[in-house]
Amino acid sequence: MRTENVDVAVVGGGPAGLAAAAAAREAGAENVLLIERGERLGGILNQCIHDGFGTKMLGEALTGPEYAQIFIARLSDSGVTSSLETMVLDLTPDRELTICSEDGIRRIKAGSVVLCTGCRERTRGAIRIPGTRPAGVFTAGVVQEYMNLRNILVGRKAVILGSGDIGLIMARRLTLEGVKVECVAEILPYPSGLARNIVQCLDDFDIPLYLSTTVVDIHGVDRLQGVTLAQIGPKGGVVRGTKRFIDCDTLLLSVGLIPENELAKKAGIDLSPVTTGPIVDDQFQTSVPGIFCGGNALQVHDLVDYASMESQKAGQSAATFAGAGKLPDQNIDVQPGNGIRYVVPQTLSGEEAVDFSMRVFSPGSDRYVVFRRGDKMVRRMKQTELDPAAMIRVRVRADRFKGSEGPLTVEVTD
Amino acid sequence: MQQRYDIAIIGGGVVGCAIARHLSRFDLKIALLEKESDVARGTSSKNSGVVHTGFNVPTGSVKAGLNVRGAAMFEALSEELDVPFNRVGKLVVALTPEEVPDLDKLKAIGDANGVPQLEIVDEQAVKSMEPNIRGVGALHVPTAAITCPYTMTIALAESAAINGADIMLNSGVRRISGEMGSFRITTESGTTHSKLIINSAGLYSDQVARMAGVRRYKVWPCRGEYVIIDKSRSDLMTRMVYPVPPKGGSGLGVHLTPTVDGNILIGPSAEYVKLKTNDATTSATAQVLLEEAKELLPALNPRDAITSYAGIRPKTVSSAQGGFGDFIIEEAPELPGMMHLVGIESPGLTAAPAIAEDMAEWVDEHIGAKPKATFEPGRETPVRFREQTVDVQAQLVDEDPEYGHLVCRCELVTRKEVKAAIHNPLGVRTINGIKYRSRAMMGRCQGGFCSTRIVDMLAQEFDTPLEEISLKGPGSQLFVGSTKDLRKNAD
Amino acid sequence: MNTGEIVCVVCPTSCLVHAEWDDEELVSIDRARCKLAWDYVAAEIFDPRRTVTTTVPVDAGQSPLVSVKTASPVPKGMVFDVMNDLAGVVAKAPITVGDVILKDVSGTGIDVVATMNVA
Repeated sequence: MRTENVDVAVVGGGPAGLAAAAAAREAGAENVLLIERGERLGGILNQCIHDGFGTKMLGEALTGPEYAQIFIARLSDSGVTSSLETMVLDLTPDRELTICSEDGIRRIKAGSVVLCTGCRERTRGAIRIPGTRPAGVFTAGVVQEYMNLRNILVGRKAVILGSGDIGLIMARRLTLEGVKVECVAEILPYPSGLARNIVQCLDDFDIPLYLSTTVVDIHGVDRLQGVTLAQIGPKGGVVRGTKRFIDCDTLLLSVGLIPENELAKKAGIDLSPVTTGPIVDDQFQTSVPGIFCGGNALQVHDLVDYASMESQKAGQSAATFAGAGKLPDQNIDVQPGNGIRYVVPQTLSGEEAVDFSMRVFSPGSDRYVVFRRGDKMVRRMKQTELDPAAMIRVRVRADRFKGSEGPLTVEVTD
Repeated sequence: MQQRYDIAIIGGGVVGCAIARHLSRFDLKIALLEKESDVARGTSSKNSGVVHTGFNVPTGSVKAGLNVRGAAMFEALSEELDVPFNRVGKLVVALTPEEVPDLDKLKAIGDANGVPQLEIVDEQAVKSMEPNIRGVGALHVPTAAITCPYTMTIALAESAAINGADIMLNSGVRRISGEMGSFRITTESGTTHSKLIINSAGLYSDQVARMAGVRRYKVWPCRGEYVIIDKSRSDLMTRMVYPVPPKGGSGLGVHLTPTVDGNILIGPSAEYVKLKTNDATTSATAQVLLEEAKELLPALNPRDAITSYAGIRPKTVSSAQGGFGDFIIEEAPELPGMMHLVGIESPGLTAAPAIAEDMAEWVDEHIGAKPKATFEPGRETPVRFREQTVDVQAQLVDEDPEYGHLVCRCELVTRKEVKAAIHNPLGVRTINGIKYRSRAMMGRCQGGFCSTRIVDMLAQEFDTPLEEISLKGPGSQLFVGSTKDLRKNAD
Repeated sequence: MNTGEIVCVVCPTSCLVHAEWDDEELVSIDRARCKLAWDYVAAEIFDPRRTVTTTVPVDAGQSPLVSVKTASPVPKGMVFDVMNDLAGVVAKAPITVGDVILKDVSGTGIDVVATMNVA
């Protein structure tokens, strides 16, 4: 079998992979290969025709395709080789990839690897919505792909389950194309998507949002005829008397994204049970030396800007590793404390500034996010609004880690 | 398609297709009439895929005889038709010492039915055979096997078609008149004449019998729900594991069955339902299935469930009657020339090849069945890329670049295989038809990546208008049309 | 005096701004973390605008559709007018990001431009 050597191999050509590959090249890696399973670069951004991308990184609110195009141009200027319609079949802990395309199956021996494999959508089967199996039940991303890339309309009257951003965006998209969106149902007592999307996708079009509500039955033998909604009580059971039938021919599921880490598992990488992405250090290196990770595969992002930023760092670190450079030792554990669901990275060196990403468990207002190490307060940041749907990013300078010992804890306080 | 046949088989489940294929060895004009858009759309695709040995059916019953005969034929048949078959073995496990004597009872039945190599094993043996299974002892059934029931049904139908049988889909039967030698069958798609009829309509066999004026049969639908576990957990067990059948309503007695694709099936439940079409899944049952499964397999995590489904058993005994109902395989005396197969629930899959042989004898008795000079036993199937070593995979891609395009990432299905599924010999053009033939869309992302690509391929291969692409036949269209045309025309 | 709560969407922080306004102008705001909120909230009350993003079919291109947007936000009440005026528009390949697909849509003075390249 043909074997090739590359300095850095990046798996995934969406916004994370594009940023990682260009950054690796800019950091000095000679031979950088970007591997993408789809027909073109850009990943999920190609179908995200709405705007709001790039406010942090580029200072503008661009549409998905525009944002992708900027990074695709950067990539091609930087001299990275891309292999499209290529699937990675295997990845070993010593960074050997087996890739497959119509040109054949090849082995790639990489100096370092960056995994930017994104997410998949949670399915009907995974949440086991009871009922029959008619046509007309789709995940939101698939409908988005049909509508925005293939000019296909899936139905005329829709119910959306899940108030995550994809569901909200699709509520607007469908309405603009003349589909009647009856409602959005959300099982939690608060919305899962960003406030801007509640305003611009639901309020603008008077689409009702039913909280603490879910789909408890699906009806229709051949094509969807309707769904039964019901309110869910605090213990998770159906509240009596709240079941109601909604006539519709389409059910869109926007019930969560799952980081795609089958390759990481093949390479024996340790995954966090909370994020289900790899556990990483402040260089975005995983538990397997030389394999790095960034983007939605690492943690589900709400802003593509942060996915690109962390992947740039991952790409730079990958270039250093491939060039036999030394990456700082990672001796400080990061521990989520009160109110914090998770923090990335999970370890750090204390020698560099770190941009932390974290999410809270529940909504709140006027609180503080506090970093502590030993009895030293490392950083305290005011957060006017705390929203589980909105990732919190905090930068902590290197000098702040000094003068204390032990793990770094992050918590929410009054 | 001719209009006059020697034999018309009503129902394209595994039994009907097995009969069609076996009869196609003979010089006979055969029609198979199936009401859905594909074969295996009923109970045949919604069961556990187990090739039973026959230890849990009463000695001397029709079921027992056909089970044992069918089991002896199944492996060779699977080999001929390139259908997966895996003799994994089974453990019937006692969870408490009180249940151990039940194992002896089951063994005794198995011995009487002629099931080979049965043995009672102790707790240590259970632990060493299946380290993740709880149990104080078990009945070990080494010859029990698993297969893919819908692949077998499709393969049988394709083989029948290759050998000259007419497989007619979307041909639900409406009226039957006439008599032996000259039956007249009106279907949704036209009229068929046949000398003999075999009624293998599964859940609807009682209704088909009534169409011919035979009113003696009644089928009660009994639903069985399943939960499917992600194949990343295939390491949890190798063999099928059943608990000792529960006494009087204490739980479902949930089975754990590995599949030929590496998933684990939990189920089935058993609940009489009113409607034969009610194959909906329920959350209450899924919960019970997972809880009971955890008793046997503590390492099971409900989060590993990727989906659920339900099948409906055609029972010949009602909920009130309860108890054992045997297969009914008979010609009704009031209407010679029409054979009725009623109540073919488990072990129907296993019994199918044996039933087919018996049907050939019956046909021979009535009109004579002369073996053909040439019979093609096999069928052409593309190599399953996912089952090959990487070196063989590399060779495949070098020889045919269509193997180099992975359409379904989760199950590693290539464009070559999806294309072959699209161009299947039965002419099925539904999304489910492609799914069941190629395995695409059956993995953990349930079509999230590949379904749009499959729609592209389907539209392209046949220039199919978007509004016609369906999930499972007429009425189940996926789309209403092109977004922009609809918007333009709306004003 | 009118009061209300408006979510500022200028940046992802999405402050829930408490606003007071009369018939003519925004009077005061509270609980905003930056200055940009003022202009957004004022606009939201007196002249709410939205960027419309959608797709337009392509003639003779490598993709069946081109994604487009209004070059700047149009009055909120005109969103469906924009959609209706775009129905029936077909863009001709090749297309570059920024190309004008429909000039002065619905009399707003704002163009609809391409947001992707189509060969």
